Amino acid sequence: MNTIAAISTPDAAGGIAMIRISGEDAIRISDEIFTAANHVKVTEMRGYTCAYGTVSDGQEALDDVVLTVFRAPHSYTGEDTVEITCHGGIYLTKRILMTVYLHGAEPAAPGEFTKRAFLNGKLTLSQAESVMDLIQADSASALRVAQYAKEGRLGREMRGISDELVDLMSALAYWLDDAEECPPELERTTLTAKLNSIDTKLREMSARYQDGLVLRNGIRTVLLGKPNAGKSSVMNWLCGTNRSIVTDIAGTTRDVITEQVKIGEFTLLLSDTAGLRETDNTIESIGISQAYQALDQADLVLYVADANVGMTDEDTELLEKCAGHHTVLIWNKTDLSDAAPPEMPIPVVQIAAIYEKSTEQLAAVLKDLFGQSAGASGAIPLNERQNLLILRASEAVRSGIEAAESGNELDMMYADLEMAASYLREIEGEDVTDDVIDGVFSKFCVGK
Amino acid sequence: MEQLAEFDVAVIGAGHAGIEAAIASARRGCKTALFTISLDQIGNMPCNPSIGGSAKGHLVREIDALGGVMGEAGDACCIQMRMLNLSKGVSVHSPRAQEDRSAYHLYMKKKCEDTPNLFIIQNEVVDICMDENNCVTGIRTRHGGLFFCKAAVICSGTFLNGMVYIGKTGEQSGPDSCLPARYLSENLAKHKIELRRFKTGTPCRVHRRSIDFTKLQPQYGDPDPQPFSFLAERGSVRNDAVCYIANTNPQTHQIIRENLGESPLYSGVIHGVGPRYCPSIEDKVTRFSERERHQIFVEPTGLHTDEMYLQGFSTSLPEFVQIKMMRSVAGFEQIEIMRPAYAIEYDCINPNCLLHTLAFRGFHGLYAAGQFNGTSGYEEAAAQGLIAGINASAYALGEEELSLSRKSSYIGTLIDDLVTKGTQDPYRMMTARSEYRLSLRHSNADARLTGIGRQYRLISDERWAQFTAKTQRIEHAIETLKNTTVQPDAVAEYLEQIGTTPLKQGLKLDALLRRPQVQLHDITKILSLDLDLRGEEAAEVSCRIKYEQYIARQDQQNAHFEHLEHIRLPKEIDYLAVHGLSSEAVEKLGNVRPENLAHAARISGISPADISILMTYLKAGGYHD
Repeated sequence: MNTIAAISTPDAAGGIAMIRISGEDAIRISDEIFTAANHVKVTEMRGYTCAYGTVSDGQEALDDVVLTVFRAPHSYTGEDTVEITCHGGIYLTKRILMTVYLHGAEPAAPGEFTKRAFLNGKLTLSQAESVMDLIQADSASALRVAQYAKEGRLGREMRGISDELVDLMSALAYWLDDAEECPPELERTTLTAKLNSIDTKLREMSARYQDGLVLRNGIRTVLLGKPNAGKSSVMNWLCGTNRSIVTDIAGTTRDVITEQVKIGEFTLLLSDTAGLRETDNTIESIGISQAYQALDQADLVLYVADANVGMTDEDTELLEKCAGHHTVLIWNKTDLSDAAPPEMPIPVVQIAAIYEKSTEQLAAVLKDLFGQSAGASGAIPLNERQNLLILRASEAVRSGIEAAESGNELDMMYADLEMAASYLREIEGEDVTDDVIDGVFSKFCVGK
Repeated sequence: MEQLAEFDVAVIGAGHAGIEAAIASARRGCKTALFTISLDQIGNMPCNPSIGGSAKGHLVREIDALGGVMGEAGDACCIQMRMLNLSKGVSVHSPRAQEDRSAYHLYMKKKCEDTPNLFIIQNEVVDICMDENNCVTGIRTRHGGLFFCKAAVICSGTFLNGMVYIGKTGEQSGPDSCLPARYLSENLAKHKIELRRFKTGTPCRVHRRSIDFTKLQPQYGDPDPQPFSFLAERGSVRNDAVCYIANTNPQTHQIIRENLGESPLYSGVIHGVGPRYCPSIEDKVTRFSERERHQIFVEPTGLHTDEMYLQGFSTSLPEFVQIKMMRSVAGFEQIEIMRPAYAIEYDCINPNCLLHTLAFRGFHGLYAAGQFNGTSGYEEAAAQGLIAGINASAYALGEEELSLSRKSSYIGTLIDDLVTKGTQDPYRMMTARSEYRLSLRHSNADARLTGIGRQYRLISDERWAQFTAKTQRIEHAIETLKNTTVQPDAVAEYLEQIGTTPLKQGLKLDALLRRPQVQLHDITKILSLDLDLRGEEAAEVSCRIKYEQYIARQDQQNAHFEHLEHIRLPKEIDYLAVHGLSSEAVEKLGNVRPENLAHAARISGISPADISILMTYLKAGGYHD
């Protein structure tokens, strides 16, 4: 049986979340993404033991987790199983799950853990009917989601992309199959150009999935500003607690602190960062590099400036680094100064963070910035399974481009396209082979 | 009624399906009768005088590898041989032969006559007799003859209630003016076998002397032709016939358009469904109106005749239009028609009522193959005939029957498509129909199927020895390439010459060979490496290595289905009693009665959840482990 994975805790923000991986590759996959604090390899861990460590997607550490190993047959499913318990943010948990998928696990089908438990003799025969009920109920709700996606904008866009791919495959299938009518030679450059355009669309779609995540799972937000501009006070204003240490010594905040807050209809995933400035202090410079990293992945920047000091060249310079992100200027410490904020092409919120109680002003600004993407344009409600399939399809398309460019035969390239098509087919639930054959007959005058 | 004789297996029809079925059955030790309406039509080619072609050539090689006869006959009566698609990837290379049509008929007739255990009988079969359990007990002929048999194979081709149309005149007829089979249909209906109408067409035959060949483009056979049969030596087939290409023009199309009202297809006289891949010229002109010309292939029908076949010009327009439109083609100004083009409509089944063994579901000992199953083409017919013949004889002998997987062959793919999806128009094989295209090459058909042929007693000891020796040589050569390291200096000059990057360090030869530009024969020459390979073996070794990674990926992609392939669905399963299945699934599974879970999963409308529920149900019933 292939290896499956899913988030086993409810799909909501909570204290902790758990990802379950089951199947013959569960141990191998976990080993690839997890580094234990005590450097023990997952492959060497015995059943019913756990380890503390870090999960990474190959580029960066995602979270500190506790990983528990169950060896077959002593697990819920009866297969090798690994459970990863992480911090409960939805966004974070899904990124870990996506990493597990990209290392070879498949999304678990409805009721699949329980089905496997049954098939492996972990549940009694009398439970078979309840397993079937479970599969049916789960798949009915999955079907409703899929149906929604198919009928909605996602469906139309997917159909558009997969039609393009099927057209290309029909042309290629015709060329490969039909010798008698001597079809014109297919130009490799035309083929790869079309494939590149398909790949770009797939990747755009996946990127907009990130936008979709923003809406469902929270807007990744960083607080930036010069040291002592009042970022921590702003953080506390937003959180309504004394989460960050507020002092008047520049450079107090050295860690990136993450917090989840509700502002109007939006959820912000807040990182308070160390003040951005060049520093000789080693500990502080680590905090600063983390701040830049958080900036990279941010959906929203709240730039805090001190009204009492006014906009400095350093502020302008830092704001330039925020280009490409939605940015809001927090004109802070209005209790100490009447100075008006500078003319800027970004929204401004004027507050005295340490006294302010209401977040309505900011909520209105957020609605202007993100309200649109909740509507007709922008974000697509992909789930992580669909996103995974799109990423795999894109990978297969790129492999096809590579095959064509390296001078490999086009029947090899066709195999890549078949693979891409089969991933897209999984989203749509339709057989592409028949579409390709129909395409050959409807678009080309087949000889004999 | 009088019992005339007793057989194990009766094959009805001696076309390309019937011949394979009868010979396989007889060779496997069954006393076999081959019924035909005319002894002079055994192995007839009423349409194109050729065997093979894209994907069809693969089928012929597979038939040969399993121990069928089409490949051998195709080689013996070949007058021109070409390997198609040579400029494309190896998986779509496919052999095609121009055949001497009369020689082919005589060869097949003699082949049947020479086969021990095989009895050819000219008689029209009108009914299949069955007992109360739907077990075949015999067949009845037109004049009251009764022949006992344990199993019967229906290979009626286009004969069943055949209607031939030229223009709007239609008459009861089989192909080539043969008598049609007029009575079997109504008796099949009595057995509750549902029939439908398909149609196909064939172009006219013209006299060689009436063509101005100087205006046409000649097409010659390959310089060193590759025969169909794995037993034949390269270059051993006759190869001197010349084909020609002509082109229609806007004037031809204008004539066709003006006369569409005369066509039985366009005026609604014919209701049968025609093949999409082989449109009539009126279809081509109507559907692809932007094209200014269509190719016509002018092919000799034999060595001792001046009849020429016009491939790509099939039509059911009346004769006066046929001659008018043909004379508008450059080179055909003086054309003399010898046989007019016609359309033929016939009875056939929707093959989703069959099992993968080609047995009818709900009957015992009743099999079907060929155009009767809704396919088209001699090769598709022969492929099914061979499987149906093997299985009818296995049934008669009480042995295990054969069903080929999609992974094994185009034959397995063909049959799985037919019985799983049924077909809406005459089915033609294409390489795009297989998800295993890269592994299903014509060149490795023997590696894929000869073992199975051997298991079913169709491969002689001598052939088996030859095959195993070849396999060993190929495996050994691949082993050698994988274990031999080449140093950068040894191939530096060569790599530069072919414009690929030089090696930085030693590399295994298989990795080097995977570079698209690198050729095996160059490497062996440069390194003085003797791989001890004969004939086509070097090409096979080369492509197995070059395609290895792609094939592995394709296999991985398809692995999920293969696992499901091994979970059988018991015949007696009551889908209504399976808790949790959707009502659509209950209905579809009940109709198709799939043999295993992979088969079930391929039925349209069956969801992955349905498959999960079935898996759980089977386990609960203790059906599989």
